[in-house]
Amino acid sequence: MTLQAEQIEKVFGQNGLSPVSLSLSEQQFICVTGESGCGKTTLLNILSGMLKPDCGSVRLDGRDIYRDLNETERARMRNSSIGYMTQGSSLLPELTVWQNIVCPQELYGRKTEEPQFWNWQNGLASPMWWIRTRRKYPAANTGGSCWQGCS
Amino acid sequence: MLTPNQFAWQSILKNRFCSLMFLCLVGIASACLFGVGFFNENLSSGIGQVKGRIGADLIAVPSSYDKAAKDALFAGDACTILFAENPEAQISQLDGISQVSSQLYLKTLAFSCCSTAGLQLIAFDPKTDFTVSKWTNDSIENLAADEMVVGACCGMKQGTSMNFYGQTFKVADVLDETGMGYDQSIFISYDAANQITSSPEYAVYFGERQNLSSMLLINTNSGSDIESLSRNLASSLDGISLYATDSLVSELKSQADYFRISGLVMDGFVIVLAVIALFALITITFYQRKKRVGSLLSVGISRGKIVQIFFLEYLYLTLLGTGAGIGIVSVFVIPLHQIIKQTVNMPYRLTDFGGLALLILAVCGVNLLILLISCSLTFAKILRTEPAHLTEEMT
Repeated sequence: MTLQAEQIEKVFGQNGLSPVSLSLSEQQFICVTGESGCGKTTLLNILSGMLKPDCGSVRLDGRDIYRDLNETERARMRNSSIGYMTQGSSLLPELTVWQNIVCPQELYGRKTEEPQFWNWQNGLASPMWWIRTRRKYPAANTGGSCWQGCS
Repeated sequence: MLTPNQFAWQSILKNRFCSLMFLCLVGIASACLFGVGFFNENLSSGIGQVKGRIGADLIAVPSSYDKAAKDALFAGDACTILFAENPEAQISQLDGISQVSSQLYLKTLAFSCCSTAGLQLIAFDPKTDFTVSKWTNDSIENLAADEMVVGACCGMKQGTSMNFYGQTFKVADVLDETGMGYDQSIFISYDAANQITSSPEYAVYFGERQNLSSMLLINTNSGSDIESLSRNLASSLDGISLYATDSLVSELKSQADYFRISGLVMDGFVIVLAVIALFALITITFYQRKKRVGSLLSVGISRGKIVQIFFLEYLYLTLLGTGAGIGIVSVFVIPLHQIIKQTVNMPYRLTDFGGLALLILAVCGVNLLILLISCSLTFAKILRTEPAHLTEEMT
């Protein structure tokens, strides 16, 4: 899977993102740094299909995600190919931790069993954390537990 | 498995205060809409029965008992009505008249001679009657002097006995509800009434006269101009007021239209207020939950699915609120319908099941429309705003 961005730009009044290009190949891990307000969040939002750029293109496996895909297809792309984590906690307070984890799948009728989750999570969650938190609502968990759920 | 339905219910239970406010707003609006509609339907149902129940083209009453006769017919206010001289024979010989039937209206007394005071006794002649017998079973044709047929709201069952003017009468039949004064009336034969009015103890109340009559029910020949016949009769007979049943019904419908229009105006205000209040509540709630919508979009839940979840949440609240509003009105209004009938002084009868079902559907339909209007801005925001702006990650 490859991700390519060419001359993407976004303007918000006096701030925004200056034209930037980048290319990511499979298994590649990068870190974007910069001072506050330089456009790091804007860049990530554009790359993940959450914010349309004013100009430029973003291609995932060769397909322009803003020109070749409609809104529903972009949502499906985010559901299957892109993981997005917000700066603040993004757990939904109406759902338990387990429901928060499985809602992207189960709302589309794809039931998820706990053994499947253990295969996916790949060591991110500890069994003790899981036993303590999975049936609780976010408000009943600690901040750290909530962050583990988000991740 | 987590479904949109389950998500919606969990949202309702998690946001209890907002859900309760939503329920109260919808409940109050539903109660007003249903209450007004129910009242107007019952009025229409009562007025719709009038022409058939009276069964005659014209009604003749003594002029001095004009108002008393109308109150007795429509509101059930019992009274004793007497012609100075029975004009039945005179009227039945006039041109254009096909049938005449006499009725005698006597009010029961608050003395020991009567089991209950304030009830309307209506004596009729089974041989000439063409109104009462249409609404009873065969027992009325051979109604004995010690039998009576009672209205639906007299509180008597078939077979029970009561005393009126020192005579014991047994209930032979109970009439269906009419919404008119007949519901609080007791029908006896003219023979029984003559025994009362000519008895030594009570003749003095009735002027010690024979051949008494209170009201004449008149049918005209087919094709007659009822209004002009009525004017001719009124001019040729002194001391008598004549009413065409169609005119009475038109007058009642005009009065009912006044209630209907007032009700529609009130409904209009209620709908506008409900739209404004729900629009504000739903929009403010959306802005509080904007980040959650962004989170759902960020994990790939489509906008359509998010709109579905929100819509289900508000739909369930609307249906619950509608049920609560209708239920509360029904619990209070249905048991009080006799008091309402006496207060409005018009024919008033509980509408049938079909009318009630249509009214409930209409209230649900109006509430759904209010819901759609109130959700419009919220759904537009969900469908159009970039996900990044909803997650509030952007400064």
